[in-house]
Amino acid sequence: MDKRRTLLTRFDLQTLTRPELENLILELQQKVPLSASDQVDYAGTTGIPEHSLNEESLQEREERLTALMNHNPSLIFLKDEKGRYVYLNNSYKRQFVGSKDWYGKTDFDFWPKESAELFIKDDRLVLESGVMQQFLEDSRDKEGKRYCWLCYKFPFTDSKGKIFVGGIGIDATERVIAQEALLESEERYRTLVRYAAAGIYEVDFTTGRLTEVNDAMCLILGYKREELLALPASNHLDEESKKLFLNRVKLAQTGQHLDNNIEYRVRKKDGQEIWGLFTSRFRWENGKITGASVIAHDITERKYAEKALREREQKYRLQAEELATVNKELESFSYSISHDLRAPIQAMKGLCSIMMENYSDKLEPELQGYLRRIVTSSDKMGKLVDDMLNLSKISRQEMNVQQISISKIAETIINELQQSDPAKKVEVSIAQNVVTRGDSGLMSIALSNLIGNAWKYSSKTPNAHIEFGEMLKDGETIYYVRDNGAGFNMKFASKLFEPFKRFHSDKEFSGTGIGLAIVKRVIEKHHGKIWAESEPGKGATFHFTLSLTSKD
Amino acid sequence: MKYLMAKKVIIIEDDETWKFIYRQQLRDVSDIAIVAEFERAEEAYQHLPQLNPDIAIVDISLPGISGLEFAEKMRDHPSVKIIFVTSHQEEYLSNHNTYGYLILTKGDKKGLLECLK
Repeated sequence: MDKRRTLLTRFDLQTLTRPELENLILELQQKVPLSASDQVDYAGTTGIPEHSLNEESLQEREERLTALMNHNPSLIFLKDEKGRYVYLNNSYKRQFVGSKDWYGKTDFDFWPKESAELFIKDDRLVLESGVMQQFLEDSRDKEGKRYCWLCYKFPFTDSKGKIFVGGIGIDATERVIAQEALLESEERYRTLVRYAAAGIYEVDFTTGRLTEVNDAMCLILGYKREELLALPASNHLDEESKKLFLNRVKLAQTGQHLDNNIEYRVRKKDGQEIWGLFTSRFRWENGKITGASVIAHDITERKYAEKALREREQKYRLQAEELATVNKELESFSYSISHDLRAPIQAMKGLCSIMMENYSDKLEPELQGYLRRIVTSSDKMGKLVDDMLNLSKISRQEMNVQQISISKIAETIINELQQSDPAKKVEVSIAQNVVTRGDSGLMSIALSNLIGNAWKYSSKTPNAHIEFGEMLKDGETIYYVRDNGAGFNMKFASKLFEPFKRFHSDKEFSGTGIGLAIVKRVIEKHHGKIWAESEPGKGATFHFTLSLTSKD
Repeated sequence: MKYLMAKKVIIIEDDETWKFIYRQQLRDVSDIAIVAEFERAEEAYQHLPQLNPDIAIVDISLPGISGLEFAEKMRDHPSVKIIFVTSHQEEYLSNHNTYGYLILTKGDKKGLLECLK
C-alpha cells in the first residue's frame, strides 16, 4: 500500500483528493525555511558569482559546499541507481546513521523494512519520470519513532553518465501531526453535526441557499439533503416569519444586539406548518452579514402544549370566577333564606301559643301535646336558621385585621364559661403571650366555639383538663385547643367541620352542629387550616394555623 | 266606655298573619284599643291627625318607607310611643340600640304587654 495514502487515510480521510494533497504539501512548504529553488542553489553552483569561480581552487569550492551541506538541518543525500548511498550530510548521519559505515549501504541498513521500501519506491518514481518530485514520506525509524518527510527528490546524472537520485528531506512530522489532529477534530465535529438531534445548517445570504445541512434538519423539513441544498432557504418560512427574518438581518446589520433565539413558522415539504426555534449566529464579511450558522429545533408540540395550557388556564380562571360568583350568590341566598325564614317560624310558634292560651279549655290534652311539640320543633328550627344565618354572616363579614392576643381572648372565654357554670371543676392551662394578626371579633367567635366544645365535651369527665397552646413545626406556628373529654371517632374527622354534622345525640351533648363549621370559616378567612385528632373517650385536640401576612 | 279609656294603638305591619297574631295577643287586654291597621307606613302617617294614636306598633321592614324612616318622620308627633317589632332584633341591638326605641322580637307577647303598660 502506498505510504502517502496510508498517512492520509490514517484518520479516515478518504475524502482527501489529489489537489487537496498537493495543497497540504504546498502549505507545508510555506511553513519550512527551504523552497525548491533554494535547493537547486544548495545542490548546484548557480548562486556563486561567475568571476570568482575561475579563481577558486576545486578544494575551496568543495569546502564551501561541504559546509553548506553539513550545516543544513535538512537531510541531504545522494544514492546511486541501485539505492546505495554515495553522499550523506551531517544531519542525516547524526540522526540516523551514527558512527557506522554508510558508504554503499542502502535504506534497508538504516530504516525498518517498510520505510526503506517506501523511500526506494519514491526514488524509482523519480528515476522513471526524470524530473524532480515532491513526496510526503510517512516513515518510522528503527526505534519506531514516526518521521514525516517533506522530501524533494531529483534525478542526477554525472559527467561520466552515472545516474543518481538526490534528495532533500525536511522534517514535517509536527506539522503533519497537527494537520491530522485538525482533520480529525473537523471530522469529529462533522460527525457531531451530522448526527445531532437538533437541525443544523449553514446558509449563504448572497445566494440564498443552504450550504450545509444535517440529517436532523432534513427530517424536520421533510426534504432530502440534495433537495434542501437546491432550494432557496426562504422557501421554508411562512410570510410572517420571512418578514421577521429580514427585519432581524436589517437590525443586526445596523449593529443592534439581538437575541440569538427566535421562533419561526416553517413549512415542511408536505405543506404542513410547524414551529421552529432557531438559534443563529450571523457570519460577517467586510462589515456585512453574508450568512448564518443555525441550530433549529422543532417546537411545534411544545407550542401546541403551551397553547393548550394557556387555554386551560383561561378556562380555569373563568371557572374560578364563575365559582366565586356562584359561591357569593349561594351565600347571599342562604343568608336571605335564613333571614326570611325566621318570621314565619316565629309566627307559627306565636299562633300555637295563642291557641294554647286562648283555647286551653276547649282543647283536648292530646291536642295540647301536639301543639307543644309544634312549638318545640319551631324553636329548634328557629335555632337552626339562626345558626345558618350566623355562618353566612361570618363568610360575608369584612375582616378587621390587627395585632391580637389569642391568650387574652382564650382567658376571657374561660372566665365566662367558669362564671356560667361555677360548680364545674376544670383544670385550665392557657399559654401566655400568644400574639398574632387577625380579626379580634372573628377569633373570639372561633375560640369560644373551640373552647366551648372542650368545656362541653369534658363536662362528664372527672378531672377535666382544657389546654390552649402553640407550637412551632416546620417554621409554622400551630395553635391548639386540647381536652380530655368525650372525643370522637377519627373516621368522622373529615365530616367534623361540615355544618349541622353531629356525632353525639342531643341528649348526650346538646347543640346544632354549626360551631365547628363557623370555626373553620373563621380560620379560612385567616388563610389558615384546621384539623383535629381524637380518640373516643380520650379527648380531642383541635389544631389550627393562621397565615395572615402584614399585607392582609 | 272601654274605648274612651283605652290607649289607642295603631299597627303598621304588611303581613296578615302577624296582624292576626297581634290582634289575638291584645284581644283580652282591657285598656288597649286597636284603632287602625296599615300595611304601609306612609298611609299610617297620613291618617295620624284623624286617629291621634297613643301607641304605634311598627314592623321595621316594610314595603315603601321602612319602620325606622317612619320613626324619623314621627319626631313631629312626639306624643306617639313607637314600639318596633322585628324578627331580627339582634341586628338592631348590635348597633347599641342607637335608635332609642323599644325593639321587640315578633311574637314576644310578654314583652309587648309590658311595653304597652
